[in-house]
Amino acid sequence: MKKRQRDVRLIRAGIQLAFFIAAPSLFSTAFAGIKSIFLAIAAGQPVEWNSFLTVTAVLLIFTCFFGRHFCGYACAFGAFGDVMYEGFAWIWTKCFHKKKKPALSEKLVHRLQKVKYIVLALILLSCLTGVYGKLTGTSPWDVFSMLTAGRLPNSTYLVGIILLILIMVGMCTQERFFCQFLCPMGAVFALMPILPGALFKRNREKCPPKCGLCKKRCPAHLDIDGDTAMSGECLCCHACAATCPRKNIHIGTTEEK
Amino acid sequence: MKNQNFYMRVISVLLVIMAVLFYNSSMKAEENEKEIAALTDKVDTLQNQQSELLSALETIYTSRVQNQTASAADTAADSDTTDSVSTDSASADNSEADNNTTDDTTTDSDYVYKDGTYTGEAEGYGGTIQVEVTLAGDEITSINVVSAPGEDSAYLSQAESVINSVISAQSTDVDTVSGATFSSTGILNAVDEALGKAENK
Repeated sequence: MKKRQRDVRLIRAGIQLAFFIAAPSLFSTAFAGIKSIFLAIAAGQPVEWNSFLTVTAVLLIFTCFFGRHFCGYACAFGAFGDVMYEGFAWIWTKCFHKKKKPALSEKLVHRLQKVKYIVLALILLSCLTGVYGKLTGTSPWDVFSMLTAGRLPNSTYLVGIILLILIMVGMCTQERFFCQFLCPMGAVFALMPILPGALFKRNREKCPPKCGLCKKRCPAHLDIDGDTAMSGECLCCHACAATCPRKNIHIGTTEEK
Repeated sequence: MKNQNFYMRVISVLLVIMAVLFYNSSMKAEENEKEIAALTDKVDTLQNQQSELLSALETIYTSRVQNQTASAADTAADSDTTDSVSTDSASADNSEADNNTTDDTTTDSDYVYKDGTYTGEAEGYGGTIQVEVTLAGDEITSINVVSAPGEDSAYLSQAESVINSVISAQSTDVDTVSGATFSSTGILNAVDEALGKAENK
């Protein structure tokens, strides 16, 4: 059983690494498309199609049909978060041996998941009011993308650097901390109508009573039940399907394959 | 209802898309209206000018005809004189235009930049951006990005819109493209470098 989980994780890590090298800026490009719509409206101009919007549209349409596999497998910032989280967990076990790593409670996780909508709203509002132009140097994404491009951000990026460090600290405490709680693009993805056939489902009748392993293992602590109000939070990491001792979780169908 | 969350989300996404499309079409309609107003204004002024010119020509012509009939000239001479009137005015225009061009040529030697094509380089997002700036008579006529190996294609094509603003402003002191700040700043710096090479010293 452990081997299955490790295989799934290794395949995912490989794909994440490939995307990290090939397209480390896809997530911010996609969000730049969203921003460009609001910047055009703020400038009183018609919204014109641009190369950012092409990336945004492709990712959003892909998400509608196949779920948030972009978040789980392709996003460079998500991969960065995984490295931070798993690296910290590894160091923790080395230092404290079997002691359990502190974790955020389920209730708190679900509350914090709403924060990203506030982040999204604030950024788009700043675009609409024209404040956005004055915010250069405050984006942790800019700092991150400079670092992935092999450039050191200068002192004008101080706010962004501090925010990035804070986010990195958060990434150690909770799996996919940024993706779940703060990512404005994640907020957009979570609002997308993902086809019910692309969501993880479980055959509840076959679940042993009081198991709940999948929910415990899920970074977002979701009830894996297909189309729910929370189903947009699923990052498609496939951890639930790999964890389930009865192989009871599949995408789209409750039938066993 | 089954999958009610999905349907709710489909409806809200469609609403957002419709709102953007509605906004766009209303903006386009407004723009068209403005353009139509500007064009009708132009047509009106042109028509006024035309009628003024025609009436002026007519008064000249009739006064000539009156003069000539008074001096008992023949009708063939009439057409000649009207011709000469028009050619007169044309030559007057020409001489005016000549004056303008001679004014220009006097400043010719004081051009800030030499004519020609110059290349410049600057750091973009992920590497060096090389641009080619063509100058003619102190005017930036074209800017081309020759190579930008480190730029993401989506960002670069966004950043290239800064070129149009440079050409229309005839200055590199323009706003960078938001969302593609690094690439557009790189292009502006490269253009600056090229202009530095082109300077008359």
